Amino acid sequence: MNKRIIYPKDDGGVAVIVPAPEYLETHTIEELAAKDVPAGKEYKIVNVEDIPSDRTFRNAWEYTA
Amino acid sequence: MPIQKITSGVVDASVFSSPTISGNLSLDSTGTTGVRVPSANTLAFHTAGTEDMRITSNGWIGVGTTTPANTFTVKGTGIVAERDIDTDRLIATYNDINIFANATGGTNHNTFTIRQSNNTTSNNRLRITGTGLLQFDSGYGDIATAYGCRAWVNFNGTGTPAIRSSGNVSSITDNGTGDYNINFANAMPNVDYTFIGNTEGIGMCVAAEDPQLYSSTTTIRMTIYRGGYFDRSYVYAAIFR
Repeated sequence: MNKRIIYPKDDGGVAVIVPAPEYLETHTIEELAAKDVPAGKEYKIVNVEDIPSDRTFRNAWEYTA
Repeated sequence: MPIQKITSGVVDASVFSSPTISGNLSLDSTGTTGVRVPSANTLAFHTAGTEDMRITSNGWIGVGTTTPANTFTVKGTGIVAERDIDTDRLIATYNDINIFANATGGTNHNTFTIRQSNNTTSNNRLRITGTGLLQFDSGYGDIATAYGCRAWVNFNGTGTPAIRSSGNVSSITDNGTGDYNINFANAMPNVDYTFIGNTEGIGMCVAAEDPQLYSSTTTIRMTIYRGGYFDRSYVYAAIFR
């Protein structure tokens, strides 16, 4: 619950994967990333605190490697 | 003539006319198969050294148990309550509940049925048909095929989006304002499912985003729209198939 997975979208923005607590009862965050990040995309597993909570300009967020 | 242990040959039924049976009656040469009197007025039947069936002093029969709880008590796996030869059905009955397993017979071929209250077809409550359809009568009057919710999620899309609770959902992907993917823990059998979504706020439209382009057996993209895209605190989504 304290982790998120981020990856770059094709349009230049960033997608944030929010895990389902029920799923993490039986799977790891790494397994979730392998399943739900689109094939071939680079991604990062980050702490939830690293994701801005102010979504005013959500569509302007960018992914930095 | 008192009963003697017989170690070979055929037991003559006439010996049972004796007034008292005491001890064990072995019916094989090894002494592991036979009849025993474990206590007064009780019979225990053994094979290969193990007790299989007992008739207690009150006439109750226990199979797989030495303490039958009623007239006929069976404990163990693979219990067959009754096979109706005429209809070729397996029937188990407990109080007013009947369980049927049909091996043959027209539309009931290979069906499994639970019937309640009395033994009439109008009281069928649950059935698995021969073609694998799960049917039930939830009280609205007839038994019909059930179509299950294959996945559901309740999440907060504001601030730091988080899933409150879900079923068969591994995650949501926050694509941007009011724009999410619901990712299924277990894939749908095909893409011909139905999506239902809702959120708080009058006039908010929760919709599947161009399903032909963005939906698959493993994910569906949904948006929240009212003249523009919005994040909402309570977002509900369900998938039926």
